[in-house]
Amino acid sequence: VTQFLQAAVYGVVQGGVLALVAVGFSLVWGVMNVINLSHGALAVTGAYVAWLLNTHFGIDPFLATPIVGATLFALGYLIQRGLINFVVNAPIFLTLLLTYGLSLVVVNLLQLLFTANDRGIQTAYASSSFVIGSVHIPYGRFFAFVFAVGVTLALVALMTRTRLGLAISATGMDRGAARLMGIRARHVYAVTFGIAAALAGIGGALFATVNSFNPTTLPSELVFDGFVVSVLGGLGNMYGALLGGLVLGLAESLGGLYLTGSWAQAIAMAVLVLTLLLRPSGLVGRSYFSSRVEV
Amino acid sequence: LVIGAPVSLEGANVVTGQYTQHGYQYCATVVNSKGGVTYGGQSHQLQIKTQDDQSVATNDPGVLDQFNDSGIQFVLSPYGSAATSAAAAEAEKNGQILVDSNGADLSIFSHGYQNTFGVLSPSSTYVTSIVQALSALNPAPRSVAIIAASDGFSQTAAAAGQTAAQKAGWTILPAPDAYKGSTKVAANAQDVSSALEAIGTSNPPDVIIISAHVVEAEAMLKQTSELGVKPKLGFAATVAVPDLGFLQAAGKSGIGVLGSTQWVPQLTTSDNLFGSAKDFATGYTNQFGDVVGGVPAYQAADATAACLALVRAIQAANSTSVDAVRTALKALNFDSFYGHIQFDSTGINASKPMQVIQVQGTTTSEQLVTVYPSALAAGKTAVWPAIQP
Repeated sequence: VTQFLQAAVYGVVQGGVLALVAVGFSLVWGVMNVINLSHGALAVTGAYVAWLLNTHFGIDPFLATPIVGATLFALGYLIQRGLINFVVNAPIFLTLLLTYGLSLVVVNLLQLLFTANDRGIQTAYASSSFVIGSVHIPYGRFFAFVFAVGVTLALVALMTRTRLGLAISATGMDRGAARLMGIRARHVYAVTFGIAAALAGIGGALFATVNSFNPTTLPSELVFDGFVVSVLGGLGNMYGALLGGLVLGLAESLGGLYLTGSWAQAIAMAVLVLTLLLRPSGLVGRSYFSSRVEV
Repeated sequence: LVIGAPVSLEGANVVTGQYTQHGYQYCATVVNSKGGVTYGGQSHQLQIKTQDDQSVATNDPGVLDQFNDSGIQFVLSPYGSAATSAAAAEAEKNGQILVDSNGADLSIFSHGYQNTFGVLSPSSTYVTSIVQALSALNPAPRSVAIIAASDGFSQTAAAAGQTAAQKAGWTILPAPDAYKGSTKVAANAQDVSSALEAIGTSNPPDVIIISAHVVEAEAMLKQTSELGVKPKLGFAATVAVPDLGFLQAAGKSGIGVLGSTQWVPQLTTSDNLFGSAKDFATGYTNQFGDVVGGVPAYQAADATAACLALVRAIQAANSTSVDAVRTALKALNFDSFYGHIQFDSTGINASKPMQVIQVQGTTTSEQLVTVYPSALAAGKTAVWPAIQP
């Protein structure tokens, strides 16, 4: 029982980190109908920004998240306005190709700047844990989990209670109608991509406090996780990524308890397939958003 | 003389791939500076023709085919067991000679191939050498948990290590053969918590050994701390320890971790091309500067040694006939900066032992210390127990 509880708790807090990385991926997909394959590379960029701030200025990675977020927001805004905006009306395969190419550029730049060696951000607390009963709850992942919940709630508030959020939602639902209402779609898209990049960067920074990271293998792993979490949770609902992340984390952790090696990951995929069979729009997604994907 | 070499210049193996490439390049530099490769009464400049396999093992047969189409009959291996295994099958099919520098999995040598020769110690020695080193320490462990990644190399290393531990009278926790059950983790996984949960906190082993690559070893260090799984004496982590990424990512938490390595600069053997192990370290570092813990990465030494074996065989054969060079490779029996090189009937350099090192600090000069065998330890000893109660 203890082992099961430990795996379940660990899966939930691990899922928080996954959710944090995935929420931006889901936002761009839901609003812009762009599957951003450079999302993982942007997340890893955020990890390097946090690592630089920690290494050179001693800034704690959690305290560094505003700087990481601002840096990645600016980068994301520029990428959207200067690059992705040109293909936002194009067939989905073109946006896939462009964002994949962008990912390669970012990954190789990171490799040139930082080498491909693994890095990690060392903090005094991230690998420590507090104990409830006999279950260890690691501080680093727990804080990341709390952060993910907080970010999701903030994003929901932004989307539902501010003019910017309503503009983003409106543009995501019907760009033409939004334009007729005076919304500058190009700017809204850029802000959306900027927010997603900021969330990716923050997710990457927090990921780096609890895991090692590098520019070669991690970006594609994070994109894969983001994709699975988004599909699992469903598009068009800001809680989707959080829920998807938690379910994926839980499935992987409990899967590891009963199956060995890479078979444990099969459990997570089985959960995804089962969810899509029962709820094709994801756990809390809206069918309108997923049906727009021209695959 | 053109020798082919698939190398990983992008993708997951880019770091070790570059060490391998540099090892081959260093070999060519030194061989050519000493007059080149002599056969047929003439001296020939050595050229290493490299081609990127993008860290994808299934690309390697294609690279070997391209070499074959270009008339290149002698090939040095890519980095890693999976890539080398794929390359070895193609070399056999094409009738090319493959000298393996960085693929240690025993399965590469289990097919009866006649054209593949590996200079490095096989996978079965990685955990075994750690068990031997631990047995010589005071206090010696009496129990061990072995976590292993799901790839063939890691599983073979764990299996041999478990046998050695059982012979030493150690208890295997949480259960014998757990390395292929409850403590088996996905290769390159960032999460090894399931294996640690299986080991548990109520009856901790004296030592936890992880038979895996860098990512899994880094995850183990982080997650043992997170989950409160604490061995009584210390950790060991095969190939991760002599890796710059592991040392950087682990930081202070890596101090005390033992690991196995194919080569250390304290080796006492030498050869007429590269001199002693120390000479190799100096020459290589001067040319490339990419060092791990102050010395060249062992993958670079592996690569130079593979190239050296092939050059020696071509010179001994006095020709570039594949049959003659194969025969000469089978007959090789010499000391080098890398240790003794002599292939058994399956193509393995079976007599070559591995060494065990320990992370003893975070600055370059003290990061990696050779602790086993004691004859190579140069008066330094392992910090043991590495974990204080």
